[in-house]
Amino acid sequence: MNSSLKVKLVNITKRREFIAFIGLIVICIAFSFISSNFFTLFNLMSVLRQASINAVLAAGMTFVIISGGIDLSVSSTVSLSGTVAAMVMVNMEMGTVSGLLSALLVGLIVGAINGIVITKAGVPPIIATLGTMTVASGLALAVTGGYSVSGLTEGFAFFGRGNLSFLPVPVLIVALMYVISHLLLQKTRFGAAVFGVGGNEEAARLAGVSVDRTKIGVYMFSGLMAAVGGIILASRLDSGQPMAGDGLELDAIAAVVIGGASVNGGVGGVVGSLIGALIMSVLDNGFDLIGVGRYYQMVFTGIVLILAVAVQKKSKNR
Amino acid sequence: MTGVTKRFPGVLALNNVNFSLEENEVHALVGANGAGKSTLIKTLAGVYPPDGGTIELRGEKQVFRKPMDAKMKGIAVIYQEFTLFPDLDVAKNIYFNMEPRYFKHGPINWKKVYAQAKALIARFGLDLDIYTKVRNLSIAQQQMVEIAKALACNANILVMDEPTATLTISEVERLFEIIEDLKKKNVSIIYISHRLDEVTRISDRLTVLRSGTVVGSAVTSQTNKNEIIRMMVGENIKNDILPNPTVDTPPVLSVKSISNAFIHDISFDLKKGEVLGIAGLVGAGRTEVVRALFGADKIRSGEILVNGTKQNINNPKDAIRCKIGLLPESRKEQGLFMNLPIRRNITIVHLKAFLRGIFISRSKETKEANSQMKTLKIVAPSAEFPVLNLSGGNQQKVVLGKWLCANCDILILDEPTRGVDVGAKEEIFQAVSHLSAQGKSVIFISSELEEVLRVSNRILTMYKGRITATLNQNQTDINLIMQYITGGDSNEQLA
Repeated sequence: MNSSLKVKLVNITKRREFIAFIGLIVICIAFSFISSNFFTLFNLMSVLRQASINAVLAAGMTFVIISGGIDLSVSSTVSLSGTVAAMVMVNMEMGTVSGLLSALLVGLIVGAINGIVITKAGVPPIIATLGTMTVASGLALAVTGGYSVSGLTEGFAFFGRGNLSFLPVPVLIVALMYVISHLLLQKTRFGAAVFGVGGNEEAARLAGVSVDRTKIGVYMFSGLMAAVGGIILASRLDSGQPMAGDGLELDAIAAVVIGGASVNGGVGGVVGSLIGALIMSVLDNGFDLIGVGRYYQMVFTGIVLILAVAVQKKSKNR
Repeated sequence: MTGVTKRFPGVLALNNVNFSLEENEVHALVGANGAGKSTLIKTLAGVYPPDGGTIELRGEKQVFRKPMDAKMKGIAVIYQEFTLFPDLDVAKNIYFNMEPRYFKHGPINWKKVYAQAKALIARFGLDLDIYTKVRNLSIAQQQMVEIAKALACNANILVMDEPTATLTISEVERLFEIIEDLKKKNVSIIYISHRLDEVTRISDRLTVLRSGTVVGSAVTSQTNKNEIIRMMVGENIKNDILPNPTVDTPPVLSVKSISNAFIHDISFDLKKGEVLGIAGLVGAGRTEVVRALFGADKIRSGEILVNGTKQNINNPKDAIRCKIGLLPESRKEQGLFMNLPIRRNITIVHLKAFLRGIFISRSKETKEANSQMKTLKIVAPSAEFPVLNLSGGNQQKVVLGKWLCANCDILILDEPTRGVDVGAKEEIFQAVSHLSAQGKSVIFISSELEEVLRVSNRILTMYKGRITATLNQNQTDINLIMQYITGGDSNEQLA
């Protein structure tokens, strides 16, 4: 093996997401031994499809967590953007494109409010987004009266349930979102600012970074990703449901943290978060296959989250 | 301590170190950054179990596996970073986790806590009010609380790690009085400091460490600063940097009567290619002046002209646009991104220079980082190395590299030599001299007056938020500067 390749391989093993990646491989191998149904194309596509919503939320959450914040409002943003899209298409009969755009707009608005409340009013992120989570959730329930809005357009169905050859459309959307997120985070000045603000806010400010603008951008991006998740979910459910997203914020945070990001900010990457989301989805799927019930799955997922972070912490200290 | 050895992955931090501390003595531990002072102390305090060697206390062999073991034997360490609870009062801090109880495992006897705290403070003559929240104390007072904490658990060996780093001159004097007093009350002290004049003044003996080995040990009164420096660096260092002579160049920066809550009526010019020193005690407003110039703090009145044009500098971004750079006084909190590689720490201010289209080109960044590392002699395996793992001197050079990369015309250095070893200090001086030779202007702040005097063309002295004098380097000396920064009486100033 030539030496530069060797150095590259060694460097890969030192990356934070490497442990999560090994974990994912081990879990996959274990399940494929336990269940012959695991390693089939159909099942793997189903794993990816299952992972898609969490993965897309985790992409946005990665930015937030690296910036040193947290975004609890993504779950309600999923619900609100889905119901707004559904109402635009069903009640207002404005068509698929308007439905999509209105959902994305909802995400951007919730994110912008989060960012402005956090930066300009100085409310800590966990409280600010807890507040907007409750507000958005309330709005979704209020505008629908608590009922689901069904009868979405056929075009809309494509985003959650369609296939391009053997690939589910939501999986393709996730792939696209991750390419964009990765480039945005690793290759642009915005991404560099996100790492800077999360790593050392004061140093970032003294280096001429617009801290407030960066934070607002981060929450808007998270809101946008939540809206994309909302579109996929509403499309899969074929309805806008005001409580569809409940609980998703915790899954997204879990995926990001399993992927190696630090909740203290400054550290992380979308590749890790994607692996984190896949681990969670593979666990759910594998346990389904071997007949472990939903309730116990939750128990295992919780344990995996804690284990993942504990192992990363240990390996960092070695 | 005999034959103490400690290995870290890839580093031999302590190599067969022998160290002894007598009763009632102040023993100074000196050495450059990374020499092993902290490791030695942490071994003594039970933070790191040694890989070899023994620790004996009054002839009795000790094994310290955790900090509590050492504490029980009367060894207390006061680290540079205080371990206080800002929202608890002085008494509660002193007795935290060892509060007297009404009976064993019973409720805390708060009355007794305060009574004991009062008695302790009176016995050692510390000027502290036991009911004040620690948050509201000065740094020097907080340090006294740390000392009181150590004394409260009957420490008879007190280790002080760079105790004067953030103290003003009068506070240092007060600390020395306390140390003398402690000595009389049967407390032995290990005193770690970079400041050799303090070491030579306060210590009875001293031990010099270099690269994990003891290179010398001496009775303080039988040695001198030059000899100590020679032991620390292991070679004769050049000591001949002088400011480049400036001809009458136009001012690049004119400050006209700026004021805010900390500073009053500050006016001065900075010429092209000039090194302007600012001397003053901690709290005199040096940092506040440069923070205002850099837009980190707002100014209430006055104006700032850059190259003759009035500029509104409301935030650091505006300052950077005017090609002003600031190396802040605390590099960890304000200057560096510890988790990020050297590369990004250097390029962060000037990222737009590394764009290829909308994306940052990593190869361009790496090239720049490598070139800065070479110029500034930053020692690290590669530009991808996180700054967290660099020594203080190398970290400071990274911060300097950041502003060199941004191609600033005006560079403000606030305490660039603090916590930096002698070798790196010289390299920083050389960089300053080099910059001014290139026509860049530098504002240089340091608590070490000798340094200010060595590198500056002119020196501003500050006292209580005001400029008290502007002195030419060749027409002044340390004594004169000292008068101006301590508010010495005006007759003397005229002399």
